[in-house]
Amino acid sequence: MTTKILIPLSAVVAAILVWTHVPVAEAIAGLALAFVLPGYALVGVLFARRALGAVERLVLVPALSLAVAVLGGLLLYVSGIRLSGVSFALFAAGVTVVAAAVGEFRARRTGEAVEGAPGLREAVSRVRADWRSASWRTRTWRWVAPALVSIVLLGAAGWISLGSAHTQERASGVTQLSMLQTGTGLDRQVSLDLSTRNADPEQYRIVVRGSADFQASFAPRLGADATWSRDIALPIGGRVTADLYRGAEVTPYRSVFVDVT
Amino acid sequence: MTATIVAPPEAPDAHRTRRGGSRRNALPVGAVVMLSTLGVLCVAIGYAAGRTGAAYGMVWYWIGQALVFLPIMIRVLSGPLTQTRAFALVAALTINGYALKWTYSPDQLRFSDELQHWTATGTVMRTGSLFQPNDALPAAVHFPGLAEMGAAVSTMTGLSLTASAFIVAGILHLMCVAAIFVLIRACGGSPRLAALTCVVYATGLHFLFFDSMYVYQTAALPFLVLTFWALRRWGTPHGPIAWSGFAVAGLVSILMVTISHHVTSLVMLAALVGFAAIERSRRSVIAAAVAFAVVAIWIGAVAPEVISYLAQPFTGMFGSKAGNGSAGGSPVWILLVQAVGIIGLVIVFLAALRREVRRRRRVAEAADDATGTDAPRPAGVTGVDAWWLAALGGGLLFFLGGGLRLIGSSGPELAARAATFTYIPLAVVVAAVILSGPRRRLVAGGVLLAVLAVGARLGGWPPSWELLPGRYLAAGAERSIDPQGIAAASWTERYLGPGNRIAADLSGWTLTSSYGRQNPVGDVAQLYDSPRWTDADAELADRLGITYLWVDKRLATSTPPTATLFYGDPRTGERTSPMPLANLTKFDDAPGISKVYDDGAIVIYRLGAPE
Repeated sequence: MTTKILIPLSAVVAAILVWTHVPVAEAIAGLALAFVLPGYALVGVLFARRALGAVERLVLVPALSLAVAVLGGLLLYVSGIRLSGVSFALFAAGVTVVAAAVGEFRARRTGEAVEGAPGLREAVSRVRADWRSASWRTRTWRWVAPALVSIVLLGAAGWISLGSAHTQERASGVTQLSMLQTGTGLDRQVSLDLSTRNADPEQYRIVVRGSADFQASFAPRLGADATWSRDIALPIGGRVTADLYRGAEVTPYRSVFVDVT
Repeated sequence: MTATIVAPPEAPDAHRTRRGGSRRNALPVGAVVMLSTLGVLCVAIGYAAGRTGAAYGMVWYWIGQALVFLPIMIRVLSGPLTQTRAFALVAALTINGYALKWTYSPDQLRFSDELQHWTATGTVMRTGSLFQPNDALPAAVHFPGLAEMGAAVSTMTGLSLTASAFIVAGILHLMCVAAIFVLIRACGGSPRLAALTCVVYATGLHFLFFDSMYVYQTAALPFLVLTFWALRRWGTPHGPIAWSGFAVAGLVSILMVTISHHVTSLVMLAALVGFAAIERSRRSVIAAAVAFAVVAIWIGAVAPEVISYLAQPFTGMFGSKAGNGSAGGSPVWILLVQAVGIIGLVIVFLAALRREVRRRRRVAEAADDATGTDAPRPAGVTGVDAWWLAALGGGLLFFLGGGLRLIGSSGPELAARAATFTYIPLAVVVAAVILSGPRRRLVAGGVLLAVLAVGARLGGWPPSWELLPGRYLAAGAERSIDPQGIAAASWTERYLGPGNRIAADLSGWTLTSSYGRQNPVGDVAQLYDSPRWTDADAELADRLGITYLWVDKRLATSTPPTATLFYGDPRTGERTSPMPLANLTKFDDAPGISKVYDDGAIVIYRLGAPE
């Protein structure tokens, strides 16, 4: 299948995958629509077969693709269309299909042998020729092995960094106590919330005190990444205090207060 | 390529091989790339050690930094390169450099500027619309290029906004360096010169971070370079299709720069006008006129507010010393390292100027001999010569821009921001001079680049006191963006709703404006600077419309490394000790203030009764 068919077809399939939210495939399709396909088709329209070098193409393909996203996004906004994955994808796919069609039309009219973006087949055939000309051992040593080792090294660096960052985050447990007034007058009440991001479950005790000897207590046990909430009706206004205790501790671990009206 | 070379010419190399590639004794490119990538692993180990507070982290960091940069620099300097090999080295340096940035904070964006744009992108995704208010960075509202890119990638791929931001910034960064490479090649530079220019550019202060962060300048930079690439290639004869193609590519690049970043669009306009003045060709005048029209229309019709925004740093240069949250001054020994690098750059630049003056004198004498002294001289400068002159002019601006460092509180930041642009032409000049001399100049050039790289790591971003990620540090830029702060800021959005006026210290400002989508208030140091809540404090809070107070009690545990704690801090430079705890706990006893949130370190107070 030649690139003149492959590129617009890929764009259409990619847009469908984005629309249908097929896991993994959606990510690949989205990346292709964002960084490759529209730019690849536009390079084919804008430049003659031998006008660009390989590195120039390498820069222009993502650059024009991103330009399609940005300028297309502006156009969608001005048209009153909501910016979403589907609208971005349909626009990018549309540009790709139209650009491929224009490129094909122009190639037929001028007799120029342009199929999709010029240069892909040249680049592939050049790589293929280089591949065949060098001995297996040489090419493996010079290109494949270093590339693979480099990818492994980058992967290891990422793994170490992500692992240590997650470990650091897990180590810094967070226990949040908050209280907001959610009703006034006769319906006066406060909303009390406790949430934790600690690794281990913990037994807590919350004591709420208000005016006129109002008091209420609760004993939530919270696991990791858990939240506990309670709405508390108050008979009278004034300052309401909530103290949080851990286990059998007698000193408040967290404390909040609200002047209720 | 019709043009021959960017002046001055490279020295002939006696070690060229028959296959036109590398010197016989030069290390294979693949091995060089592997060594460089090994450096990323070393730095990642250093970062991991930094997160646990281990002392050996810095050793791994510097070994890694050396491995990432030096092998590639040495390989580029050591002999001729084919285009494929030259670009492979440049791409490896850029990818590895970006990996250094990513591994610093691999799980989330922590740099305050990135969080501002992360917020803007989230707003585009949430509302499906552009130009929505963004309290984190109001100026970015009118330049939605980056936010659109991030939103497009995230919504089309289903990846998280953070992951999409990392991908977009990485590809833009690689595009920028690749664009510099193709620009030099289009001007007739050899692959080796193009590669060395990119290597020199990688020694810039902002290369590893500001130029690769998820910020709007990163989005605009590659298109700025592509504008000049298209202008250069526009003149090369490749038939009408390619001619119009380069014109369209140039126009698209101008549009992208203008939509993406205000400063870059003004720099682009100034550079195009300057180049048109040098070259005086029809195409350069057209390009400058088109850029002027596009930028003027955009700023006039879409972003008129940006004029006052851009004027602020300039007025700040001559105004108060109030802090703006930047990293503050560097230690003397770091300034010395940077000074050595700058002196080296000055020497190289003067050598280029001297060579150019001599060359022009020779050309003029030859022309006089050929045509007689009374013959008229050509008015403009054409071809490659104009590009070389433009590079010299841009390089000169680098040094003039450096002078801003000495002026006012905003000077150092302005100088560093300007260098992001002016370092590109200077890199061309430095690379050309290094390659045009004898072998000892290559060695000296290598030493200079190594010094510049060290200076950039020490004096760039992150600042020297947080080269490694680590535990929480009060007002410590990225070191203050920790899970506790993020949880508190997220709580404000979930429980208080967005857009509340909230007073906060520097890190609280960043967190509440991004994760919390609040409207943080600057110039609030007075509220925190005394052990008692006074009527004057209450009056100030009322005047600023403050509804909530963000109080981080950890400000009492460590000295802020930048000696500043707030935006618009009147005591910038004077905060050389931790804030007294009484200043942070006084709100518990203040009348009319409710304590609505407590996580042990961060407390959020409400001023007055709920509406």
